[in-house]
Amino acid sequence: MKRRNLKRLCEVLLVRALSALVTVVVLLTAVFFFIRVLPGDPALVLVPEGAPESVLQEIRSSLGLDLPIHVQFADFMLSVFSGNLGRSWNFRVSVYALVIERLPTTIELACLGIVFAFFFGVVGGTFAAKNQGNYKNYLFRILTLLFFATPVFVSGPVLQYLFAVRWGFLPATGRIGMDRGYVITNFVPIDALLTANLRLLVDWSSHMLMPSVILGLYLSATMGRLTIAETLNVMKEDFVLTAQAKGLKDNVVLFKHVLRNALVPIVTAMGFQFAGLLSGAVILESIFNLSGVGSLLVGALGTRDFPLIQGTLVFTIIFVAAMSIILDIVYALIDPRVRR
Amino acid sequence: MKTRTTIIIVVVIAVIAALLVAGFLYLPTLQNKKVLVWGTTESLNAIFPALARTYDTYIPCSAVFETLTRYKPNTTELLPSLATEWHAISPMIWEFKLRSDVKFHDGTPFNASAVEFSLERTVNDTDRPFGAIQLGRYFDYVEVVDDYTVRIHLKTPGHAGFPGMTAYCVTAIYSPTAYKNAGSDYMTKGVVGTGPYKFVSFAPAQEIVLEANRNYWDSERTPKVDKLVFKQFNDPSALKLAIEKGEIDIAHRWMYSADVSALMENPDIVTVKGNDPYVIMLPLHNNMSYTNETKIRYAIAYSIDYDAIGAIVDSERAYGIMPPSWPYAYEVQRMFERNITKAKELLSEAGYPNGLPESIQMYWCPDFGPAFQEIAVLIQGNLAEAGIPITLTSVQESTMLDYRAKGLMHMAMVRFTYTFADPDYMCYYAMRSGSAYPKGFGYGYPEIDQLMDAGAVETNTTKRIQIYREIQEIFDEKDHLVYLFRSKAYLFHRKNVHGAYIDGAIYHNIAASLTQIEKD
Repeated sequence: MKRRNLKRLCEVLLVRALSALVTVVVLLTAVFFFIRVLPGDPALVLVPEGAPESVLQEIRSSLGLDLPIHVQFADFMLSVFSGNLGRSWNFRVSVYALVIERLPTTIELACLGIVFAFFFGVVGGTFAAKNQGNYKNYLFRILTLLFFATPVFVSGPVLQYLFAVRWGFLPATGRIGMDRGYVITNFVPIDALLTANLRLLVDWSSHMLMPSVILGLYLSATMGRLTIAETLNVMKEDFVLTAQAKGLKDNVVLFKHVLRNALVPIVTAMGFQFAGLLSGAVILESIFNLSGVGSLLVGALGTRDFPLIQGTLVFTIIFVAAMSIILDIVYALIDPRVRR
Repeated sequence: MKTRTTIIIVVVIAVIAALLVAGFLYLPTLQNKKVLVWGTTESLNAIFPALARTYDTYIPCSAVFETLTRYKPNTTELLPSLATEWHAISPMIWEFKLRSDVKFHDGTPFNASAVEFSLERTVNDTDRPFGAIQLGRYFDYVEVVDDYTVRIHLKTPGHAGFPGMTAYCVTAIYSPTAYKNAGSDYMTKGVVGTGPYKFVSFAPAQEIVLEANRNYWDSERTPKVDKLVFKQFNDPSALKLAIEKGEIDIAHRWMYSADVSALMENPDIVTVKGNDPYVIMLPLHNNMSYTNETKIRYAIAYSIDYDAIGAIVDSERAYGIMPPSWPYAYEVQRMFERNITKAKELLSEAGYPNGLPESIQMYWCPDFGPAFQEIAVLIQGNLAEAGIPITLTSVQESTMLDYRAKGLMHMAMVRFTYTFADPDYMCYYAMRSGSAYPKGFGYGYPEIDQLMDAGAVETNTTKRIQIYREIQEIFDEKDHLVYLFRSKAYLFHRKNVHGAYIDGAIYHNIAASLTQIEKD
């Protein structure tokens, strides 16, 4: 990469990072006010039946709920930017610790889901485009339609029943089914590799296989359709004809020249799908009893645990914003025009 | 290029094959004979008794921590636990003699100072934990008489049922040494009690792990498994699959009716059936249009098809707020059965021969269980038939509590439960002027309040029973609460598990079964 291009790329990334920061602030503001619009007094959830009003007032005061809303908002923003997310009202432990403890499960599921989605959607879509007009293409289109039309809350329980209960190939629930031993990073595959615990890796893989494939298949539908359309468009370009005329083999033309050019809009779509992926992960966490951030958030909403709701969303918003920046870097790597 | 493509394809296929092989090789290691895994859909919100807010959180808390008294299984009778005997010195003071041969898990001796520290710290906790507010209604302070004698002073004269509270885990006694040393980490480092199990780890809303206390003081109640794992499931169907697959040994609380039926037919699973602690009822607002008229309240009660509710959810009819097995439970004088003609007559007498001209809003909460929507729709249809149109509004439990506190609900399908076997506790929240339900639904009666004052100081059990039955009888005539049903509770376990039961009198006394449960 030329020095001038590198400088330009750094500038672009800086602008993107600043823009992401503004987005994060706007989203955090929205989150803060939205959750307070919900009916339900958090103090009432924390007390037994018929607690006297004096106790309720005392609790509201200790939680800061009696402060003017703008003061609460300022406190919240200061807390976020000083890295202190407060303490969960329901669990009485640090929000940061709670989320950090749950985040690896969600990240593992999301990453595996993306890997499977990429494999099924992009690689499969490229082959389908190459086979335009024959049965392989139609088969791929039908499959993607099926994956897209089947929400994870339907495919999840069905496949769970078949593979876990009926045929018994895979475990039905959980992230691991054994004592995990020494925890280093809380990412099971990393810990398993660091401690050379192959049994743990096998156990984790067998538990995560089904939910991640289901998530990946669901996401692969959009990616597959987009890949076919983009690949077919690029295949009409002159440079492809040139490459073919030079005698390059079909697969070389397809993956080195066509797919690389078709990837830009696909990567953009992947970025948008990331938020959707987190929603899918929430449902799958529930079906497969994976204790991730999604189930934590759902529980926190039920108990109006404001610090936990806010803290969980802070992490997910930052995660999605970071993914957006990473995707910008990926653009630059796959498309020299972006660097220029 | 060709070689690279081939390598990529081989690697991808190898990874997928490895994952599939991993699946085939999967061995459910939790089948270990010494580990018992208890699955639940209730939130595991704490491992400190005063903070416990669900029955399945009380259970592990009660395994680690003990109280001064305990309930005899399947009864409301109190047995000695950390206290050997107790008696009232005056209407405001109860004296407890303590065991002298007990140590906490960290080696700290159990004595009167530990009782004083635990109860006073619980009540004065600035976090205002759930249990502290319950205990704080009665408790004032502890007086240490000697190393093994304490006197508990109450705030007001009465509360003859106070010893019952000393069997409830909010009054658990914990190691002052461990608690003080743990500081703000008390939820992980201060979990040291005297119970049959010791604390290992707690991941909120995920998992609680305990191990057997091999030095437990009561040789008749020593644990029969080495390790207890409580796992939270957010989806009832996942809980069902986990027990079917043998990933857990016990499945407890909240499952879909279809899943309950399927598990009951499963030859590898044993079903334990008992009574749920909740009574489901329909409070009607006394200061809002229509439901402020007794005849319309009666018409509503006559319109409901109670048998049809029984067909939706495995349950029995409810006739009052207290479990029928309690001696204080009201002996039914009058029972509503579905009678549409009677309901229409009552409406006509109230001045609405053609039915009510506008609809009443009924709130229901999906958090209470999967059957509630179906029951709400059934009630809507039943009342419409009698000429009482209602609209249904679904709200989360937190919203319902808020609306009730503000008195906003015309009628609502709610659930009511108990924490310890004292009639004062139950009648207070449902019937005493100004407390939760009377305030939320606009009713209150001085004669009931007076009787409750008398019941609180009455130490003669027979007279006390009479007083509380009279309270319930007076209240029943007003018909502010339409009692709907009491669900059946289920506990499912694998065939290799023995000794699990649901307590017939005090639901959370299911914790007592933890020392009885064995696994082959």
